[in-house]
Amino acid sequence: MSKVLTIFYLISLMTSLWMVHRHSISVANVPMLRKALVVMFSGYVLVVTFIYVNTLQWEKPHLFFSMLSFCPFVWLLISILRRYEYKGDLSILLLTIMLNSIGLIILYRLDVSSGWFLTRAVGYQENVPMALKQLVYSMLALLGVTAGISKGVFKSAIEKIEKRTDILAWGVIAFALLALPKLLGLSSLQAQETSFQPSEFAFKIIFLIFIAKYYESKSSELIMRKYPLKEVLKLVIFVFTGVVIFFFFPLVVLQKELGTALLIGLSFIILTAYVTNRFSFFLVGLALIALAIYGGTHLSGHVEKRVIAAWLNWKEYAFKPYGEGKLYPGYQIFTALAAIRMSPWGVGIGNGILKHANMDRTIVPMAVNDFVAIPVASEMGILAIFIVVMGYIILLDKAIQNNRSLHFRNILAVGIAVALLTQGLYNLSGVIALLPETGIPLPWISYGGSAAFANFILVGLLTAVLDRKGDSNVEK
Amino acid sequence: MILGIFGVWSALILAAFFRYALTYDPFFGTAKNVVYRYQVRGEIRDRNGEILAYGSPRQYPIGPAGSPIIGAANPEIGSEGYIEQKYAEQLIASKKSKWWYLLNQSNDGYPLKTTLDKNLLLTAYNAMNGSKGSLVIMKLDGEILASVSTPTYDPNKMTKKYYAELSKSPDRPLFNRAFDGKYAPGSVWKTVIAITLLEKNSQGRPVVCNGSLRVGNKVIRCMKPHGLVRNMTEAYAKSCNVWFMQNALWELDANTLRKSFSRFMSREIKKDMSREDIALAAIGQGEVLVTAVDMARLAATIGNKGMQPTPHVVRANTETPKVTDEKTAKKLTYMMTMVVKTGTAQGLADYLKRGYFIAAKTGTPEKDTPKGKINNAVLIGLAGRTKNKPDIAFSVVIEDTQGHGGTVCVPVMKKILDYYFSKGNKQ
Repeated sequence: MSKVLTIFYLISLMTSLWMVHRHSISVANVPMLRKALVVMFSGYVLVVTFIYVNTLQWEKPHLFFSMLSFCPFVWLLISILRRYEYKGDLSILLLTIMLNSIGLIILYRLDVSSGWFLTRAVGYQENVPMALKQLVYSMLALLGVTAGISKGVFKSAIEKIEKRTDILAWGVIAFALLALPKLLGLSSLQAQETSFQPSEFAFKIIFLIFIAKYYESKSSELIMRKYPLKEVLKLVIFVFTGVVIFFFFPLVVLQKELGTALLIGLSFIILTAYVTNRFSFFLVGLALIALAIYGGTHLSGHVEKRVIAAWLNWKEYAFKPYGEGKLYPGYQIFTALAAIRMSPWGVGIGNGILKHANMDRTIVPMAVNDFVAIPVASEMGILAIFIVVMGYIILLDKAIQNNRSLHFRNILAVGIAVALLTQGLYNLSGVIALLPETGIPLPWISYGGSAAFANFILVGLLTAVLDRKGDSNVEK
Repeated sequence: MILGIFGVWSALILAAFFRYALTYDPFFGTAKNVVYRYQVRGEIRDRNGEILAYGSPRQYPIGPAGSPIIGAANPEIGSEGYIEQKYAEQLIASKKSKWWYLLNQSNDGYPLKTTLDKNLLLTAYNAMNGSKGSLVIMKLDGEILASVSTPTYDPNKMTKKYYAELSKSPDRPLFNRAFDGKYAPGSVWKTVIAITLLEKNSQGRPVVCNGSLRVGNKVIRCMKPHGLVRNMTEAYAKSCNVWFMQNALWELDANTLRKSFSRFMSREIKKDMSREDIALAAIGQGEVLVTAVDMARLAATIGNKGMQPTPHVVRANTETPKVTDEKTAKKLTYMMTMVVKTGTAQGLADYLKRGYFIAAKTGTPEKDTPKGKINNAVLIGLAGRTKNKPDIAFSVVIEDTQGHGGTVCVPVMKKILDYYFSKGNKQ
């Protein structure tokens, strides 16, 4: 039963992916939209009901109905867009809602809970199901983004950013956002689980604007085909210095968020290779990053542990601590791989062994955050991972579009997609020990409030950038 | 270009997922694997299809009798014991080989058919009657029919607390003596010395046994003064230490012994053996340490005409290399029969009269303990339902006893053989 259902769910996901890829879905095209939503949510409703009956054994009905309410909620979003007669393409929004629903299902199935500042504020001290928290985060973010799209907030924001702001200002904002908590002594802000993570926003939004604005200002030089390498190199090194000062320095030295710094580095080299149209930049950049990681293993004990104990020799340190620590660095990857090994096609939703018996704890540590791909792969099979990867690739495909002109909007759109893909694929590489794990979530699927807001703001920006209809100042 | 970069990356990720999902890696089969603990295992069956372990939570119908060889699997402790640990990968339904996973709707695990015999196992466990020791019965091709190690534990009661108690117990009930316990084989090892002598085309010289032999500074005793021991068969049947020590010192050097022993024991013996060491090795003490499985295999090699089987509990194509020639094996079989007819294992002689095949060798290695000298009693042998052909090889070790191989192990083996032969009559 569970396997049949899992297959049905995967088919529903694949069909909706295909629809999103092949057709441009807008509010005006009601039959198409209705079809896409029915396909997308038929699987969702069935799986949620199955988990409620089979895995949760009819417990927590309020959570079940909250989960189901996600469907009318999406319809509400569509109604809002229709009310404001929004004409743009909604495929990216639908794609991300689809990915988000996979994450909700996994959180609901894992049935783990934790404390929540919102319920504590009203005097409820018990733990709250993480699925409910994520549902609320997603709904709030989606509501905000939909309102922003339909009222044209994103559009005017981009216009303002493009015309009226200075590149240096964005650098300073990023620096302030990353450095201020530290300077003011508010380090506890990012230490707690339910905290606001400034690096999510700094990486995804401000960094992309910063890069896009810089390359746009130099677009005339970059477009010329025979522009000498030396001059291009000069441009790249100049912007690299800026990135180091405004992003790497506060991230690495003040916040110690090496994972995000690595993502910024990767996104930066991929974007630079795209903008300059030189593949060699990508290779040189990769070599530099590898060199930086190699140097990091000698300079920082934390990096050394992550790279040597948790990645290269994870088998050796799966059941023994590395150095003086108490934790087993390779244990997480060991349990993750052990869970995947049960079956390449998945064991069926609800059949996987993901939780300790009678305990509110997953077997794979961090299975709801960084390692969310493991429950997905374990229960729905590697096909589900393929669907997730395809979802990201379709997003990139939509963002690149056909024209390669180096306007601010184009670079921003590609940058958003590159940043999200880098993050997504890096996370997937980390959970199977292809690359060292750095503790970054899987976009839209992992649990996390700041990440949900940042990711959906990006969706809003991307949708607004790609929406050319009725755009007065499109260059002909 | 960007699509290319990300496309290649995605392909690498999916390939890595498939790699870990499809390739076999014994590292994941460890008892520490929490994921394994919760996975449902298939039934373990004996050679006649009777159930030895089933269900979830796991039930073991024969209880403590089978726990060392079968084991115990439990979410709290992981897995213990031989089959549950070694064949975990095969018991858990991994569906690795199935291309369409719908075919296997339930996740009950795969059944595993072993070569064990449930009733023989129970009989053997009851025959041990609580004494400390181990026992192995195998077919001549290496299929293990029964393996007992006592004292042991009840796999049906397994919890974290019970497990902690067991691991602290001085009797070491979690330790599988039959597979992992290293014993000095005592006089049983004279079999190997006899093989080595025969391979050198030597029959040995007559020796007068006056009850002890002085080698270097050490005086090594015999059970009793045997007087004139004329040939090897007589010395073997009477288990005369002096004859074997004297002949080993005369005719065999350390190198020959090392080469010869390496076929029958996994442990390496040291290179520079003194005369004392050679004499002790000739009577299966000192350097020589083997497991009960090794001893049963030694008997099986002789019964199998010099072809050495590989002990196994799940039917497989195992190797049977030729380690000694057929003539030597036949001579040894004759000598072992003479042990039953005229020597130290006369307690088994009535099976000969009843028309069965029986051959054996006893051993009584001594141990120095703080409380004084104490014996291990050892018995190896061959038995068959027809007059001139053995079917099974066995080895019995009873630890910490005052008796001898002939007085302690023979009654245990008789109970088992009574059952084994009576079953043969029915068929």
